[in-house]
Amino acid sequence: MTISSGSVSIALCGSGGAGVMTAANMLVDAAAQAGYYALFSRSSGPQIRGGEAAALLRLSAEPITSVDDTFQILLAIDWLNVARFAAELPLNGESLILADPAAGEVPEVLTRSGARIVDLPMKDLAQTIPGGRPNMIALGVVAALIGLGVEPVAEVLGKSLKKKHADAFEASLAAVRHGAETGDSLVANCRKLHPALPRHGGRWTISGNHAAGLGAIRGGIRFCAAYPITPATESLEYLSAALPKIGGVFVQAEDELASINMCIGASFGGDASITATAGPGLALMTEGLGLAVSSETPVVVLDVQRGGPSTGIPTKSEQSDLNIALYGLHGDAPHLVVAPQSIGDCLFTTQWAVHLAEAMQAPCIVLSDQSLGQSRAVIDPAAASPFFANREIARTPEEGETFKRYALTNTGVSPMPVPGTPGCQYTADGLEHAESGTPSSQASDHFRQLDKRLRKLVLHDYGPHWATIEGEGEIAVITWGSCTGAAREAVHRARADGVNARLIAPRLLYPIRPEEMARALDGVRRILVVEQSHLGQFNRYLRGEYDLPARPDLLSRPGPLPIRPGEIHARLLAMGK
Amino acid sequence: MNAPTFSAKDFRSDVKPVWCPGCGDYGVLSSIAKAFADLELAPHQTSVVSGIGCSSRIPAYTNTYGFHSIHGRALAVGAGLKLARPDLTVLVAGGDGDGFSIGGNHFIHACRRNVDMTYVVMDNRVYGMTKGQPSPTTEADWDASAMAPPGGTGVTPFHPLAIALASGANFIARAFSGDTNGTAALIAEAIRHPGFSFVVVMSPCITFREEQRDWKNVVRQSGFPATSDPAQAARRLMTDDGFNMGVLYRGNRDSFVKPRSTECSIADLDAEFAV
Amino acid sequence: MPTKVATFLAHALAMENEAADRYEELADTMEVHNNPDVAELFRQMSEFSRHHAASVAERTVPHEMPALKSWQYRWNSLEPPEVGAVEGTHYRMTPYHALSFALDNERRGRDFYAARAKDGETAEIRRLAAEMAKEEEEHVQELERWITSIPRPDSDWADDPDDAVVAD
Repeated sequence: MTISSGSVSIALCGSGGAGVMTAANMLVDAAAQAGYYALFSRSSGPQIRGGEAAALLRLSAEPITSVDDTFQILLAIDWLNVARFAAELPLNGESLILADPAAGEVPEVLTRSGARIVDLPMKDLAQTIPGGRPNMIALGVVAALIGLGVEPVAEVLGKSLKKKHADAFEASLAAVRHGAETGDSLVANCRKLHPALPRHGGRWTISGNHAAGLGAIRGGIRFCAAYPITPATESLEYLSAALPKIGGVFVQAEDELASINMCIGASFGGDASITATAGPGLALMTEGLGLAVSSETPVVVLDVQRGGPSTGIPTKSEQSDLNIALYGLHGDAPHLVVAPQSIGDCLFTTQWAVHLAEAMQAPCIVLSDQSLGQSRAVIDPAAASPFFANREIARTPEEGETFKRYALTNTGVSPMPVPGTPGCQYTADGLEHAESGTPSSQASDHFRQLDKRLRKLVLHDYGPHWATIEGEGEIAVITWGSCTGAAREAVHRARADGVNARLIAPRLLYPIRPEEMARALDGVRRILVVEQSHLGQFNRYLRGEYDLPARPDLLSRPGPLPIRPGEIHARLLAMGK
Repeated sequence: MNAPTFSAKDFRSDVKPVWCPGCGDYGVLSSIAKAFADLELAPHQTSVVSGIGCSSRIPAYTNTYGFHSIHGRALAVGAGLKLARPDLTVLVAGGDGDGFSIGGNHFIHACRRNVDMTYVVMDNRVYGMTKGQPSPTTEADWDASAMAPPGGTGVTPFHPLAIALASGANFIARAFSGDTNGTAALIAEAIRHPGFSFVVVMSPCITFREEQRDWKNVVRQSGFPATSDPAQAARRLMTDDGFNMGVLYRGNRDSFVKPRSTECSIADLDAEFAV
Repeated sequence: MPTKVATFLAHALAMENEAADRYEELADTMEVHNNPDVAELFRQMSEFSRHHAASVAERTVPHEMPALKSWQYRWNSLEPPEVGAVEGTHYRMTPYHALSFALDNERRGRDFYAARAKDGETAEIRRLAAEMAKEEEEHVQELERWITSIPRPDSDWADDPDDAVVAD
């Protein structure tokens, strides 16, 4: 059995004021209450208020890390501007469209899928309940259709409304019940959720952006300077609230140039530091990242990727900042690049990034993306991990010894003093320097310091976290970041169809791990690379940096449409013939 | 026993400056060291942060926790350091191009943010490291540069002191590099003053602006007591000829600080996400 | 409260020390700019000034000396009179220029003491200042003799056929 058969995907559409996001949030909370996992992303127009919007949900008794191929239910309170994101609402003949006839005809772009259309007069139904609203009718209908039932919804409504707004609570609950009764009587044969499994321990509901923020703090981050940018802003909102509670500092900087350089200053002062941004901000930060490399100042940059280049599509996901993250710095500037593979993994990977940056006194870019960052999931709680900022600290030198900040050590890591330590005064420099830190343009100093800065990254023991490697078989799906979930689901489906494939998803993108990759690829004869970029950036990286046993097949597409498991599955089946 | 006090020499490193003989920045370096010593600071509790340019070479010539960062970004590095480490004395130093051209936005926001640090700009109205191009403070008609058209750029010079006042700087002073004791005294006062303190030091570039050797003959003490009235300060700044030295504005805004106390544990933060 | 004599001596000591520091810095500068002859001369001048400082320091022994801050010194000039102005130097300067520079500094030092010998606030200050003015006059004469033995520079001493270089 694969997860898709036991999950239900639901899209709720409606323009601003219809309240589809509120309904969707309650549905997710109710599902979580009842022991289900959930994935909730949204698609909105560019309007700050009043824009068309779709809430895209997937609920399941099993953990979810990917969107499904199609939606089983599309419920629309209205159809205003729906054509704008119709492509994000894949349906098929088994799908069900629930539409309010008062909103007019179902657009042809959706009916051509062959989906069943059922009239659901939500506005009229709502009017029969004093204070009732169509979105609560919708919530009740869906809860009934998928087998979730009214009770968990009632519980969630109680938590959010009962105390402060007793009237609204009663009205909403009545509307939900009315919707549920209508739903039960309206439709038969709708895909239902499998019964929820017994829960061991609690669940979390968290977005990738929040998870990254919490991971940063768990890793020891105590300083953040940043400039608001979509789709990274929620991680900043989180850090601005959470950091002061644990003795940290959050500053809103005047721009991304200030953000990265404030972080470098704070890190020089001894605080593990992070900033978060998206592609355009990362571009502005690259000069500062070069300074962090040269001055060996640890800093973490969370890049929540969006459609690019330039302002691109700020609210949609894409994996197209890979090149700038890997190769965007000036000079020979080895640094760390890591990528989380799921919403929950945003926490682990960011925490790990803090540890790596601090251990190696180097900048670390975390490549999240909009689909991870701005989606909310119900997941198992993040396990504790041992990765923490643990900088090698220099102490006051013995009498007669001189402190050398950039001493050429075997590991390449030289102890870094905390300002305030007597006898360790030095000048951190973006100019090439001798071991003491004194500027030098001598060939020997340049070579030795370049070599040191590379050596410390290459020699580090990254352990098994460098990649996710699952399964066996002569076919390997190599992917990264947010595509990992879809690839995993595809590999599972292919296995059910008798095609064995393995999944290789490097979490550590730089420095490369040639030996580990060779081991992961042992016995592989065919490769499918899966990524979400137009240029096939990841494929080029793999072919340029690694020895691959075969020229890969490529499944690469730019955003905003997600790569769905079915497309990968189909390619695997074709390769396995 | 009293903590040891340090002399100005203790704040100097043994790295020999690369500045041209005659450069005003030597005087500023000496004044900064004097100011630190006069305030009885310790080298390891002091930080000098800079960007890029002739004057930005200064951290390496001090025996402090220095940071020679990148062009225009010194104030950001300095603000991050001071917010993370309020216990340190942070002095940011640089030139007119670094501070007012490429770093102009950070300058404005450093003034308004009012972090407790001191910004010393060695203003010589020229880019020295790149062989003498006009800077934001260069006179509109100066044309002794391969990059300026005959008759000069025709672009009105920037007025850093007025901009600082308008942007909210809490202490504004003008000094002259040739007056090492006076400059040291102004820098010391700037360091002691809470919030963002801004000291422009007229520091001649004898290589590309030979005529600036004459500055020593035209500078004078402002003769006015420092005002805390922005309107009066604005009038003075907009009407003076650029050669009045002294404290020109002393404001009373509170410094921007980020208190650091731990109110909860990581487990508490985790709990916020529990269903 | 330090005595007036002690304050005067503190000024004299600071002046000699700062003059020595300045010469030392100029010597370093000249070394960096590959002008070893002038560097050597400034190094010597620095040593002379250290000697002067030592002789002033001897005179301070009976006094309880104040530790003056930068803003507590009273000079009628931008810097202590004997301290050579930074902008009076040039990377192509010759030993003749260096000696002239030093001579100007010593003359200002001498004039400073001579003035205090006249207008000093106490008899002790006037006596000490007269002594020091006499010593400075000796240095001035020494430098005047020395400079006659040094060839005057050609009019094109500052010419440099090469362009300035670009750095950072």
